[in-house]
Amino acid sequence: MSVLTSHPLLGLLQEIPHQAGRSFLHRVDSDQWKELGLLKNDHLLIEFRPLKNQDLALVLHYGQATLTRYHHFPKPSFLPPSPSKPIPESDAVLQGVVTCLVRSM
Amino acid sequence: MNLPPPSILHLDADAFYASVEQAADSRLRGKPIAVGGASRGVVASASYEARACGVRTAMPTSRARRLCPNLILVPGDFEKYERFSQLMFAYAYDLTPDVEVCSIDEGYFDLSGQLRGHPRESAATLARTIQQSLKITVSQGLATTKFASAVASKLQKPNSYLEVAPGQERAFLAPLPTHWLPGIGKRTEPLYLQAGLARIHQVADLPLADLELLAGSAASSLHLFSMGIDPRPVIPALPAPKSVGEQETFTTDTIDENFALAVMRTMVDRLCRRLRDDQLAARTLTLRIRYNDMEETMRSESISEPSPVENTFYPILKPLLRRAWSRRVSLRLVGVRLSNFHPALPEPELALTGLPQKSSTEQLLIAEASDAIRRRYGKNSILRGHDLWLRKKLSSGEGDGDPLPGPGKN
Repeated sequence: MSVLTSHPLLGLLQEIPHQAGRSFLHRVDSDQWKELGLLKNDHLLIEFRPLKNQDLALVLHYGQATLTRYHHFPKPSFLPPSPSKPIPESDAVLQGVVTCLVRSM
Repeated sequence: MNLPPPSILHLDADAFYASVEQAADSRLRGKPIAVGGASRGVVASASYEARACGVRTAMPTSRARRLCPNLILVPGDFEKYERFSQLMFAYAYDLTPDVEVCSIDEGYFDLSGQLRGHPRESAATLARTIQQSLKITVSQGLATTKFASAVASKLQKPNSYLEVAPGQERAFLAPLPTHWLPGIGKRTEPLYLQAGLARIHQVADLPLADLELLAGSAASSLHLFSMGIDPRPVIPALPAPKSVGEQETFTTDTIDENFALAVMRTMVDRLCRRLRDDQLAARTLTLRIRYNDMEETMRSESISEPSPVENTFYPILKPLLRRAWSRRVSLRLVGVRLSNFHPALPEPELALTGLPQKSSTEQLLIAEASDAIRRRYGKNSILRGHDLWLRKKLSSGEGDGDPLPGPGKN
């Protein structure tokens, strides 16, 4: 995934209320997150805020940016797409939570 | 008399680049790691585990490896560091809008507007939140002045908090070595030592006229700092520009790619000189062109490691220009902007020889030597090939806009 600096919808995305410095745009560059409901070339507005159960979270794990589903129970962990195993919260570092999905049809 | 509590907080992230790498990859935590080595062969940041073996910033990686055989060298990922920095300062904005970001890993916060609690409680909350969410540690200093708070944050690193009580600034600074004073570094400290000024209190006790002999025009501010006086307010904005740029409108429109490139190279030269003067390095170059019908195009490219040397940016100018100049229309204006600043890496402790990265270190040394010559003998005392080419072209009347062969676009 890469940080987005230009996109036809950038103006629209920037209209969405968000805190400067806490939000950024990401482009999904493969189909590996299909089971999380994301397709290749989807664009995501990511916001850095406290996690809630079931949030779609972008984390850094083993140095790689990975999209995961956050589960607070039974233990706080991030669930990447299968077949990867759940990542304990302490093993990853949060980069932000997906707050908006933009899909060009 | 009841003095108000100290309210200027200085935050300094510990071994920032290395800590971010350890946060991002749990396998690196608790291990000696160093960031750097990609181009200049020097350590840009070392984890505290590596520092325990003697590894230091700006040390050649070959020496670092000898000192610490288990050292894990990680290439720098500056985009990641910029993101972490942004998130770290986002927490500070929860405390106060008066945030002055000094660099990627340092900033001042003015907490005087805080309605409830002591600023030290806010400082503790901030450090705890950053550690819990970003998994990096910070050191903090709280004082009534920027200078005292900055020193306090750096005295007991890592993961430290030090508070200077109001009215105790002078006493706090007095026993510290002179090199803690702004503007006194490795090169100038020996002068102060020779003059018998080993400690800050000795500078404070010196008559200003005597200090002027050593420090010149900086003497008065140095004297104030040494006495614990610092009237500088926290400026809630970036004190340094986020980017530096130049643009030039041609006298007549041009279709000459070589001419446009030479003009942009001279811009990059001047911008890099400004970066070196401010001890900064840039990572992103943005090129802007304006066609004769006023349509504009911009293209950017980032290099993997920030650099203050123009030679690093030359190779990306031509491809960027070709990407931007997609229409077969003459140009009216070109501009160059450098952004994504990082603190410039200090000089390596030892001269590097026989290493593949030697050239970039040498380039920096050459650039700094050229800067020194220009400062002493004038800006035209030393010129590059493209400067001479441009001069010749302009003096022969072929300046911008001459109908030379087209701009070889793909």
